[in-house]
Amino acid sequence: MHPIRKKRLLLLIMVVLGSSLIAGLTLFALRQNMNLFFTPTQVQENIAPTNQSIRVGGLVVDNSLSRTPDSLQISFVITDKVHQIQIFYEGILPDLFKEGQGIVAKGYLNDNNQFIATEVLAKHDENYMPPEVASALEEAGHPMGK
Amino acid sequence: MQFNSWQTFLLMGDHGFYVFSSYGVALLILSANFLSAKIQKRKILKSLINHDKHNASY
Amino acid sequence: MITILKKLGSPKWFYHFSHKLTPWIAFFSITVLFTGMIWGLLFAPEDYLQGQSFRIFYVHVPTAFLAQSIYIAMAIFSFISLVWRIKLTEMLSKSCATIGISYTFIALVTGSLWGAPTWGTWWIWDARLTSMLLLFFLYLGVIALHSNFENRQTAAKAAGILAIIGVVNIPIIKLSVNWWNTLHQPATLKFTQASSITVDMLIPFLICFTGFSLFAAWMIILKTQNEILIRESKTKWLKEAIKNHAI
Repeated sequence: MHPIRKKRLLLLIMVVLGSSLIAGLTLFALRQNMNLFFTPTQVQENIAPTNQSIRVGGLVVDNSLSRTPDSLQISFVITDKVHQIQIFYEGILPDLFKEGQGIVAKGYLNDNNQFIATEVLAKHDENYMPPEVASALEEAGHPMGK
Repeated sequence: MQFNSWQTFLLMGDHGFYVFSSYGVALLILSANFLSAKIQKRKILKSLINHDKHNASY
Repeated sequence: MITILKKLGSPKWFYHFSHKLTPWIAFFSITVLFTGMIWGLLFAPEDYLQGQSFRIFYVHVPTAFLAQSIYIAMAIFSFISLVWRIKLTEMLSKSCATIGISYTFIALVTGSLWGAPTWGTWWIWDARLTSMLLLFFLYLGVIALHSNFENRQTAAKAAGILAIIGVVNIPIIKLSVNWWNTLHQPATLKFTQASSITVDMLIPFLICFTGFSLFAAWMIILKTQNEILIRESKTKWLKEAIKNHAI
């Protein structure tokens, strides 16, 4: 290979390696901040700060949803299958909100480890299937989202 | 066919706005890409031909 | 070997070859894309959870995937032209940017249109959405560098270096959903294991994906041909081709 081309090639490889290193170190430094939400386990272990705006995420526990009559006040429990947190929310839930499905809530954690949410978003998984397939799976004892 | 009437097709289970806007935006941007490439080509050819004529007249 | 590369790198050869190819690519990209979209809109089944809004998948996923593939292609072309000074790859790289930013834009807009009815929000600053927005700005930077220098070669050099540095963002987009917790779900279509989608939903996706790929190739060819017309205007072969209306 021509020496000038070789020099250009080496220089470009250095640029690529250098920028990957910078990006890698930046992402490493930001690793917690890159996460959108805290899990119930992190809340339990006091990693999540109390009384300041954060997000928590997890699966809605079956039969945990309760509504206050004649209002939009609701409460439910989310889990990461290890720990649980109770969430209080007043407002309209997204269409995809269901027991057994994932959610991400924004709000703050009070001193009793209860979460007061101002926004609830639905998080769905990567599985897509027609309704017939989903009900067939449910009949076979493998319901989705569980 | 998943729909038994035009109405249910256009409604898209109340999500018609989101579904049709998505397909619409995609088609719009694709057409814009095609048209801009064609218009650019026409402009270049015109200027090339004019340039040649200009040179020939001297 | 060198002579083959010289031939492949020659704008004249590319122009004549692609000129014969374009009618075919044009025909197939339009028919395949329309088939895929109509199949996706009318014949694909609805999703058990999301219902009809799932149909956005057929526009969102192919464009988001190709936006990243085209970026990698753009960076490879830049790399080759920076090291070996090949004119054709420089032009190809510049042509990738326009369709690449278009696909990124479509992916962002359709993602928003899909997020609103399913998640309950148009936008969230999670790792996937943010890194995809960064891809949009990288494309914008590359395009800006190409068009804001007096000297075409300096422009291509600056844009090429930015394109190559920006490749770091591609694995971040890909793996963001596995490394961090995000609102965006992990990948449905996987290379190493079975995809999390049924066959009757997968077929229209594959058709749409092929259509969008062909369309991107078509646009890159058209743009590169224009670029050749500008840069090679002084050459004999091009003057003759214009005279003979073979353009």
